[in-house]
Amino acid sequence: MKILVLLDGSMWSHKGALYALRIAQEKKAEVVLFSVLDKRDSKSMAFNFCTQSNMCSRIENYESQIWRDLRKNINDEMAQLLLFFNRKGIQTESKIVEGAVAKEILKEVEDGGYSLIVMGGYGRNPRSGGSSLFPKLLGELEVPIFMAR
Amino acid sequence: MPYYEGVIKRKFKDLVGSKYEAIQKEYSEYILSEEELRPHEIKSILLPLDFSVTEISESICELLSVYENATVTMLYITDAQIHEIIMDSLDKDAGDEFLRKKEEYGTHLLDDYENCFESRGIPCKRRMLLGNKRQDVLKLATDFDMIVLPKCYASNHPDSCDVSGDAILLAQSLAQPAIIF
Repeated sequence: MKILVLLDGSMWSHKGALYALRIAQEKKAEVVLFSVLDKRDSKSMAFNFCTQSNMCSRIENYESQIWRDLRKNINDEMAQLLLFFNRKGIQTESKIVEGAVAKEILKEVEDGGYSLIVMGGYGRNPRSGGSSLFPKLLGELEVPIFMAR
Repeated sequence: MPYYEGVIKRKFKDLVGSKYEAIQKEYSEYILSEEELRPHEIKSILLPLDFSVTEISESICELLSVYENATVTMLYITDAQIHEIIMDSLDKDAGDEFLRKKEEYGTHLLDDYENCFESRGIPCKRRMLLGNKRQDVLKLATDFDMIVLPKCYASNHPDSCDVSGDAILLAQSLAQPAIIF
């Protein structure tokens, strides 16, 4: 069995990884921790900040700083989980790719031979919202999706 | 340092003491407490089923065997509204016949799933009801630790369905962890 854990830096996706750990331990499954960084996220965050703060002359600086922070955050997250999973004896690999989130996930699932996908139930939205990625993945994929809550 | 406390401290390492508590309170919609970050113990699982489920998923039975002490409750729902429309527009006999056919199908489906679970040593219960496929699941879900939902649940076109609107809405509305297959 091979499990794909989708990480987006949110605590919900981190919780998803912990659910996946339990399954991996029971089923002696292999785990891939997977995250997609999309440049459009840092662009949109920088643009929102500049329009709200009236400091658009520095928008490129904001964008590159946000991009660096996003990358660092997900790298830290992956490193911590990788260590934790390895200590628990789970064969684990981590992958960070750049591109459009849904497209990259679909590509990974298509090539990876996974039996389960685990993701946070709310993505980076508040707990009353839902991950907008979920309906898209559900419609396209044959693999069961575990939503962590 | 315990794992959960460590995750939270790393994420909010620039905040200390009361400042962190204030932020956590203000942004509670976004932040999980240490307790909330811990995965729930899964002891009861709800599996809603209906006429749109056309085959047994052996891989789901296998996956649920992870939760050793959990009981799976299979819930087969027939749409009460359609039953009522048939009764009103045709007659009582037609309504009864509709119900009989759906429940006959449901009985076979529940038998097959029961075999699938029991062959893996998973205790299961079965329930059949005439009701609302979405509302009844939402109502009953509060008594369970996890919901496992077929992705074409409540679809009117199971043969050509990739995913049903009800399955998406339910999965997004639930407060419990869910597996959609």
